[in-house]
Amino acid sequence: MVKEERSFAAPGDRVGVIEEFSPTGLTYEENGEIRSMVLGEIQVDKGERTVSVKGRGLGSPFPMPGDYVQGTVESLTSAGGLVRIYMVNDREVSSDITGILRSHDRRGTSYYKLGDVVRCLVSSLANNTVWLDMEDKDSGIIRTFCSNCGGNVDLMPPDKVQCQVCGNVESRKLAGYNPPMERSEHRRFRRGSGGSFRRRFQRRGNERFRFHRSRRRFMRR
Amino acid sequence: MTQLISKKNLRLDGRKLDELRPIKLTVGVLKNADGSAYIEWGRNKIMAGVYGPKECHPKHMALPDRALLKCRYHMAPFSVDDRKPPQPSRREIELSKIIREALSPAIVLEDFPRTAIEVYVEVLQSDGSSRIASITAASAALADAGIPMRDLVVGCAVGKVQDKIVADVSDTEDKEGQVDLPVAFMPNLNLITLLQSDGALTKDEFEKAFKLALEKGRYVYEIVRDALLEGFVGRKNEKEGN
Repeated sequence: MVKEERSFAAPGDRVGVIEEFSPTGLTYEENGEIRSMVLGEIQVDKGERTVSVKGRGLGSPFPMPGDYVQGTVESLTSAGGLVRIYMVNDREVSSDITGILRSHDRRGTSYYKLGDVVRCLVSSLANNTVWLDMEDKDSGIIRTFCSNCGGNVDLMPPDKVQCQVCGNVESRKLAGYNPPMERSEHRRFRRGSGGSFRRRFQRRGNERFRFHRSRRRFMRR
Repeated sequence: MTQLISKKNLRLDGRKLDELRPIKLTVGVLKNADGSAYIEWGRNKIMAGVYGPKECHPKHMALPDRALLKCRYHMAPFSVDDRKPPQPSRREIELSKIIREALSPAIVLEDFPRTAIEVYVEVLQSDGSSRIASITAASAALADAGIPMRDLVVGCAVGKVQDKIVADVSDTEDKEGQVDLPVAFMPNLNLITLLQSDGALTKDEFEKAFKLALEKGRYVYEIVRDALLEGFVGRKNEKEGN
């Protein structure tokens, strides 16, 4: 970016005209004039023909879908865990923001506990609630303790922790590891749809036995 | 009746008819608020603090397409001659609404759906035209908080005292005078965001008063802008270790 001499703008100040530049970052266009939206430093890119204003940034970011947030699980409810968010995309939050994190993953196992420090992805803002998700690789527990004795834990990737004091093993979704496959995914991976075929015919009783056996032979091939 | 304007066209505090009281504005005075400003406008002493955009509480008030702007104008018990009861009075509730409506056209609320932006104005000492001083301080605090705005909102209260149009009415002139006409506007976009009139003016008087309010408002704008830039550059230099 080509920088001109340092110049500053307050909200509403004219920083250029549209014949000359395109308005980018924290500027807006009104009647052919580009004006600043924030208090900050004017940045002109003569190569790209753009003008923008770099402000000090908002005091406190608000999480939007797709953002990563960090927080502490404060309480557990039937809807999920209440996470007090203290960081959005590595920027500290000064105000109180809470989100709801589902208490079980898609395998049905609990993957965090009360008091854990978690990193989650904001999945939606439906019903004025920040909905959080820990399904992807980067999300998960950042800090946790043994729920039995409160001791420090050793990580057992991809989805377990073991207490250094009492040896208790608990399941957690660890940040930085892909979640293990679901049981059904394992089965599908091994035998295609054979498992579901077998279950279906066994339930129907003996009259289908022959077909069932032939089907099994076919499956073995 | 009190003689408010002398034969030499000087007012009680020695000002000329179109003269403003001294204005001093400082931004970034509060550590814990996201943005803040302190204004001394004559004997008015007003502190404004801004939080947000933050999570909206109660949640049912959150708006799906824009941020909710909450304003609270509050006068300290020691801000007036008699002790003022600290609970919100009818006047304070009205002024909170007035300030909210004067500021909301300037703020780009659409950028922060489902959040709340909170503006707190504390009047520490009141001496007439405190609503305009509050709006000016609140707009400076919003800019200090980094909240995107289309323009700053500034203003000036003009009035009619002993059949003469005066700028920046003081407390006595407000109470004893004939008309108080506060005007708040966005000076770069030429848009009025607040226009009230307490008293009656003829058409000519209104035009003269309104023109004077805009002229003096632009003078106030320069003070606010200078204070904001000074605060910003000062902080930047501090950060860069100059």
